[in-house]
Amino acid sequence: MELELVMTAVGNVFEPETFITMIVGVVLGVLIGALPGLTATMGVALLLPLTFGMAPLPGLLVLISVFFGAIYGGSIPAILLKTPGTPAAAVTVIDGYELTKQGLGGRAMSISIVSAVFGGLFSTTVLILVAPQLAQVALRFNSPEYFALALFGLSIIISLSSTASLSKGIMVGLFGILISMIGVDPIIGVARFTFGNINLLGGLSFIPILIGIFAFAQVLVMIEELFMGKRSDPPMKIKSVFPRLSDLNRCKWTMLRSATFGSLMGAMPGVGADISAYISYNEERRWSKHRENMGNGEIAGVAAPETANSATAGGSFIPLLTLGIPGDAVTAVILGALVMQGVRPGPALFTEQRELLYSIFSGMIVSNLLLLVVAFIGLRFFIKILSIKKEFLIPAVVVLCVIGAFAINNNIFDVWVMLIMGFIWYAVGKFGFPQSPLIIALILGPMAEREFRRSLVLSNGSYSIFWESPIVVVLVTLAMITLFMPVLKPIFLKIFKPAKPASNGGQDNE
Amino acid sequence: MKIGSILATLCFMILGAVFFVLAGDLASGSGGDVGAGFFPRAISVLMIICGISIIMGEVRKNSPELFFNSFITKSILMGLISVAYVFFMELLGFVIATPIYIFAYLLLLDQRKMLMNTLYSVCVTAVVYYVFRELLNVRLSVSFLGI
Repeated sequence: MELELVMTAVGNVFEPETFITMIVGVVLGVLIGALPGLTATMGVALLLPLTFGMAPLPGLLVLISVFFGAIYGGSIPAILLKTPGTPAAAVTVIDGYELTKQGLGGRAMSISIVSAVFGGLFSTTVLILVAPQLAQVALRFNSPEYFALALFGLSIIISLSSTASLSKGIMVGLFGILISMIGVDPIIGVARFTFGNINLLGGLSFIPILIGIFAFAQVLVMIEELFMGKRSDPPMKIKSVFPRLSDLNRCKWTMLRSATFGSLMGAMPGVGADISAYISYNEERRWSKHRENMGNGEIAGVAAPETANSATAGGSFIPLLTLGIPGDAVTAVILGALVMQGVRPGPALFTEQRELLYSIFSGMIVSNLLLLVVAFIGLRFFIKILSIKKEFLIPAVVVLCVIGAFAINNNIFDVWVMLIMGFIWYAVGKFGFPQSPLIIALILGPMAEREFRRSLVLSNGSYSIFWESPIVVVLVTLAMITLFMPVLKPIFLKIFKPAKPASNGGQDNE
Repeated sequence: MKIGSILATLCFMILGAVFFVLAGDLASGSGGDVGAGFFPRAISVLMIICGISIIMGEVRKNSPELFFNSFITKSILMGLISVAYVFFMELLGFVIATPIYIFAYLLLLDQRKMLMNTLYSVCVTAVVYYVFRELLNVRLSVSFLGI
């Protein structure tokens, strides 16, 4: 019965409509990732409206394929131009560009492809093995547990997204929760903060805000860079693109370590591919046999971040599919796509929509394999794409932003929302206010309020419902620790750091 | 970035204060529910506290006072042209407004190859029209001329 389900699921993925859209998705994803200025989130957000007319499976798999493609695609300019195509490829620049300077760009590119595919396949396997078990635990969740989970998700995303300032990350998260309350109250059903505007009764639409802050704001940044005269040099030519056995052998343990790190970190909400790549590279500098060469054109220095960032991409589906909690901004978009397609992520997906779930799993494996083929065959073409002038890209992206925002509800109001949020985030982004907490807060904020109030209705106003469940106590404690860790860490270090022995003036006591 | 950060933070705090006041008029709950105004008020208070923390941090910092430069101004002006595009798209329709917008944008970004600009503007419009109107059945703006 289980085997029959798996065979059906695999068959669904190889239906012509689904398979062809996956190929298109991978190609588009690599292109989007390869073009500096376009990000994976932007690509997935802009393509989301296109999936509305599709059946659920091809619609979801095209976005997933774009995601995997874009995460890999960012490594192309990182290695060849010293410019990461996506934030996730920032660490790949270190050794990747060094290899290009030494005339070994082709080897770096080939190991980057293999690492990305290995990371994606590894994390998808982890997802398939772990997700059903986690879904079993989630079946026991009730309103208090969902509230605690939302709180935990919010705390991680806020604390990890705010690299410059914890307070600014918290402020953005709170802003996201506040504007998510515009619309109709989830329990009583009264209108809140609509100012009599019928367009606000349904709340602020999530997708236009996403397109605004990730795509339109990014366009404004690209325009600014153009005026500043920031242009990339044309990419260097590369020779062979097929991997050497010696390179694969050199990087085998690197890839395994980084895939494990990446999958684990992807499963934690808030840890994006960029953080994962950085941590993995750092760990590789600690554990690798070739650590002395790291930073000077070490092939393992390309393999580590590339494996980790792709593994994070796959790992981020664990909390998404089992708990309905997006792991990062891209999975937040995919959550939006799931909801629009009538798919409810969470334990119900594992009991009521198993064929679709297994089809998604199969699709993730197939899209990684497609990436392997597409990346090797199309690499020279993708490199040529790097020469496209930003001047041509910018107006086309703006048109896509406008029409994409409009297409959600066929409502021009959504376009104004998109533009306003884009301008706001272009401005506040300059002052260190991060983007990611806003999107996650828009999703988790309403969940937190709804489940908090439902819990109180269940308990007739008694707050003791929140500490009766051990799961709630653990999650809330973790949330508090995560939120206050940046403040607590220096205090702990001061208390527990061993005192330095007193200096003896440099004399030996013999 | 000090003044800019402080101004942005003040805007967030003012927004929080406005929502706090408006939430006072919302229905209270029953049967254990805290009511429609509880969460907005709690979040607003947290925003104000957070804002005070950010402002104190910014005042203590010795960071550069970058606020606006000519590149940012130009970028905002180009962004406002996109706003004009949306406005005119409602009047002139997608098919007319979009190629004009793309062509004008390319000129403003110093691309002076007229034939290339024209071809590109028309092609992008055609592709987007086909994908959204024909394939996805999205109703695009139509002008008073019916196109």
